[in-house]
Amino acid sequence: MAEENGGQIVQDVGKWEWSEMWKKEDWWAVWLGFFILLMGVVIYFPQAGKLNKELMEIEAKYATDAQKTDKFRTIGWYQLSDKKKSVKANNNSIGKWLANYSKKPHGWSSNPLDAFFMGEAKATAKKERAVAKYEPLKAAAAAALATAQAAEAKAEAAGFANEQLNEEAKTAIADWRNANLKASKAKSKTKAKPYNQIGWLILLGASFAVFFGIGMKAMGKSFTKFLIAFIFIWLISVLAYFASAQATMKTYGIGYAFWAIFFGMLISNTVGTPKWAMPAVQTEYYIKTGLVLLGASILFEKIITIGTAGIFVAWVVTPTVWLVTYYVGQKYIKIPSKRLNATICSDMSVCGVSAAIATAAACKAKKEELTLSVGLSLVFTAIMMIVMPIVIKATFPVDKQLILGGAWMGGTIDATGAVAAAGAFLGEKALYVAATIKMIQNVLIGVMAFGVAIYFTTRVEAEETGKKVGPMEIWYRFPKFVIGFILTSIVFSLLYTNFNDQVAGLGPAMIDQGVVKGMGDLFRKWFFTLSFVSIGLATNFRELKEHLVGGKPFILYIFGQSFNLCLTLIVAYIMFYVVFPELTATI
Amino acid sequence: MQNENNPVMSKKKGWTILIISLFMVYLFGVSIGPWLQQYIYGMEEIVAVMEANDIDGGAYYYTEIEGAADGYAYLDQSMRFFAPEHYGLTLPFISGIIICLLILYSGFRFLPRSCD
Repeated sequence: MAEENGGQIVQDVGKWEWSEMWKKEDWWAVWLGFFILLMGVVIYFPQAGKLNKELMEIEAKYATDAQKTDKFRTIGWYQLSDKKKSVKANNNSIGKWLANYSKKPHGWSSNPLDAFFMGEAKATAKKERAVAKYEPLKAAAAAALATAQAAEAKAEAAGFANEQLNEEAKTAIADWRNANLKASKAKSKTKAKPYNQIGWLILLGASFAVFFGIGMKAMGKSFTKFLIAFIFIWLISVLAYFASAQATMKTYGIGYAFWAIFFGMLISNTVGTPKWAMPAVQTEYYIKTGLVLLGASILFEKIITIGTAGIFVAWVVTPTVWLVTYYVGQKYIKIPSKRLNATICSDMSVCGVSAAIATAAACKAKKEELTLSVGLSLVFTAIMMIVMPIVIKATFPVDKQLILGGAWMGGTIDATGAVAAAGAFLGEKALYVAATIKMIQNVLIGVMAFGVAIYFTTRVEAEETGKKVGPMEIWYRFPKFVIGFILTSIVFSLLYTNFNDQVAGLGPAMIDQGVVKGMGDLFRKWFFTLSFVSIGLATNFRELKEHLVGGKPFILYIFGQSFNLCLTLIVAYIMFYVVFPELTATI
Repeated sequence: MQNENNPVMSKKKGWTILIISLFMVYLFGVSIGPWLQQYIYGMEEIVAVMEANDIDGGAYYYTEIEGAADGYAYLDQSMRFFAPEHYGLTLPFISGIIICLLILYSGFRFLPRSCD
């Protein structure tokens, strides 16, 4: 398909017919995405009453303890938070089955077989080693809790009025949290079980082939040819996950998107993409279905998490950087393609690969333009993940490293994994602030994709075709999957807020840990991988090289990211330390 | 077998490059990458932090990282308990959203039609 329409991520539609709703991939992406999310709703929503009750009981047990002082976070405060986090809709038999069914290859270091298979003896040995490490950490955490309880009791006995006792309690609680964190990480490794992923991967591949094949058949393509071709795409997708699961690749931040494009391009430019595999090279079909699923995790209530300071850092800086970089890209750097410019701008200013995918699809970018943007993001993300925490540690005042540093990294490093790694390098608070700022930026994807779709439909395409664009023309040309993407975001945002209105924490338990993580996310990453493999298989090195002439994309990225770094730092400082210092003190 | 867009390359050469490339990837993962880590300033520390916190550096989206869920729970509860006056749709907060939308609207509306 990508070949048939000039390699565009989204096919141009010049007129509207009702039959498009069952004949065009835009609409099939919407229907398939809706179907998966609806399944998630059917599976997880009946548990709302039970989880509501559990959360109410947790509130009743810990809320008083959690709020007995505002001088520091008490043990009850943390216990309330921990207990609420453990309430998850996908923590049932269907959720566990779905997780196994859709599981990617396991992590491995030097033995590639570990990605797919682990025998009883090896699992038992691994478990024994993990238990041996866990036991002393568990004992240390219990001892730290006892010390913290004693210190808190002393501070409470003094009515929380004694500064020294408050500080001692705060320190003891922080020690307990560190010990508890180490113990819980070690505990998760004691659950090692034998596995054989090969059967599950065959079942999952066959299900996806039928799932997408139905849509292909409805669109007038051969179901059988698609099924046969899909085997090839599926194997490369599994290979991409296999590579990304390798320990070194994880630490370098080289994820599945890179490997999917890399293996696809490697094959197409060496031995060639087999002709029989071409019917399953359906970049747009997979990417749009994945984006409809992504919509369910774009939850607007998330943006209130870190208050007004966060919204200014994430939602005011980002569009400013996007627009200025886009303008400079066209006016001064003279990027030959507006679509490449827009995709790089989103990739650099919003949140890397996810934003690049959404923008490329919304502005109808070419496959090699998306490839280039993703490549740029991966390179700069890896550099920034290492350099930024070192710079912050070396130059920022100690009292501002965690929050200002966290906000700066969250607002500028593209990929969430790298943001979390860089944040954790500075400390837990930096990790929380960085990851939350990035999460708020993630929510902006929906707004940006919608704006870009409207801008390109009404302005850029009108300029290219020389036609004045009326309301009907906008509708004809508008990428319809964006409607599904925005609609899922709105519906799940409303459901999320409604659940949280019943009891705080029900939204995350039902939506984040239910429909999103227990259903949409399980498949979304696979769909993006299928699309990246398709991009790679249809991309020629020479086509990619044309876009690199003069190094303009690099110059654009470097300009945009430098501007982003300056503006984010200034706004984060002003918002967190000048305008809302009292809010910052609560973090 | 060859895709029409592909460069002309003999089967033998193509397979040789493919196999060597896959072997190089494997070699990077198990040998070159870990060796290189010690020569990249700060890398060893980052790797230790990632291993201790079980962070996948290759994750692209917030739902793929446990730290985002933990951060959300921590900050949400902190705001609700310690700064309720700043929590929710306050006037400054709404103004932030409006400014964002105004920037986008003005930007997309008034970007020069042809600035190239």
